[in-house]
Amino acid sequence: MSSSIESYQRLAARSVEGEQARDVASALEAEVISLFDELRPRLLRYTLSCGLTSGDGEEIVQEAFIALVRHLQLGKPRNNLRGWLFRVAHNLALKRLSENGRRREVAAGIDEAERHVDQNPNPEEHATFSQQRARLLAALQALPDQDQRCLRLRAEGLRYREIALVLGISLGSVSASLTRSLARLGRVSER
Amino acid sequence: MADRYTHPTDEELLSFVDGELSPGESPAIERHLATCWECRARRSKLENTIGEFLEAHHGVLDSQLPPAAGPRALLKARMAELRKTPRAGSWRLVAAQVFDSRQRIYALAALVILIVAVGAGYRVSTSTALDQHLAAAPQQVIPNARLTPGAVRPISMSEVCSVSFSDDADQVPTSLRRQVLQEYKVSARQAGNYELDYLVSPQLGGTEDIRNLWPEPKSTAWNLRAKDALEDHLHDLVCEGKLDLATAQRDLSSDWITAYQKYFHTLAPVTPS
Repeated sequence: MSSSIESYQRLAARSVEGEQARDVASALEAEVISLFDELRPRLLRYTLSCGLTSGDGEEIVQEAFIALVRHLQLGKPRNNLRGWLFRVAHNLALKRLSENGRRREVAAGIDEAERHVDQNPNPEEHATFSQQRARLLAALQALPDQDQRCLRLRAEGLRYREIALVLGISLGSVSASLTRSLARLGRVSER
Repeated sequence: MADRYTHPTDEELLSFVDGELSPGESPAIERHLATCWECRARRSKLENTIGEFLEAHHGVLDSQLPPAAGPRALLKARMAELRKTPRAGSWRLVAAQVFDSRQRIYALAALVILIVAVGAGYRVSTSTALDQHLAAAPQQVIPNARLTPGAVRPISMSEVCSVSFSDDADQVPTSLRRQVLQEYKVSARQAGNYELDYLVSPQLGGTEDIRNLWPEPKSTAWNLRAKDALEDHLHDLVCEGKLDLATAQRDLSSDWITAYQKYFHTLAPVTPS
């Protein structure tokens, strides 16, 4: 009798453990999905701006999130998961770029920009608007890779220290790079 | 605090609008802006440029973003798949389950390259480095390359980085364990001085194969714990995209002590022996 009670208790304890493990797993999955919803467009835009196709970018974002699952499962540090995700995506993107051995020209976007002016009803404004954007995009493209990445990461909402972490540079370099780039873009838009 | 009469630099102004200045620095700039039209105009020009850049950034890229529903569902499915796989079970079981999954193509593509790379890598690098190490360490701190060249299986990056494989060679079947000890001429009496270890760890694609197992002596600082630390580090580097899986496998299988020294920038193991 007592042994059957014990074995029942053991079974019950095991099923409670199982339930707890399941709860932990689904809480983790929910957390990952909510981060995915929030950060996927930003990560994807960043990988595209590095010169990847949307197919490659999407794959890299998936890999970054699967790496995040593993990171969380192993109980690794959870402070600044956003910076961590961008860093992983950045590294994977650079690797993929060197594998592809080619860089898609980001300012294939110049044509893109011209397509986008269609929303503007006034043809004269059209022309000015699209010329201005084309000039801005050309100036953007002319920036060194590192400066472009700083800007793009900042545009995706990263703080300076996160950008420094992603690119492996100092905080001072981030702020100097952003200042330099915005000054250049500012001169272009003045014209 | 004294008012500031000199204009902030462009960098200070940007850091200010970005909220990146320390709480001690901000108020002075804020007060200066309140009194200086010139700097207010600089700030608004800066904000304009930021606005124009953002518009271009989104205008070009947003239209290229595929809808989120598909990728979101894929991520959910992959997490569900991961949840089904035991976290630290036998890697064979885990591998069997994962290979049923959609990553098969990846894995197959990697297969040929990895086997060739690891094979070629160890042949080139072991002959000299290994001889030196064996001369320095009479025990098999570095396995005999002829007996234990290392063996890997096809594995995709996502598998490496999402499935936890057990690297504990305690689970190796007794018959295989005995074979490994025999080929290294370790008698039953001496067996207690050794721990069976994978040369290329299962988490990095190594297999439970006699070519990938050797008795690692417990008595030196270059022991199982040191090697585990290296394996974990390489695994992290691979999953953070900083190191190729094939390179990690090659470094482990050719000369793991040199790899340890290279990756941890130290001559002696840092883990307690």
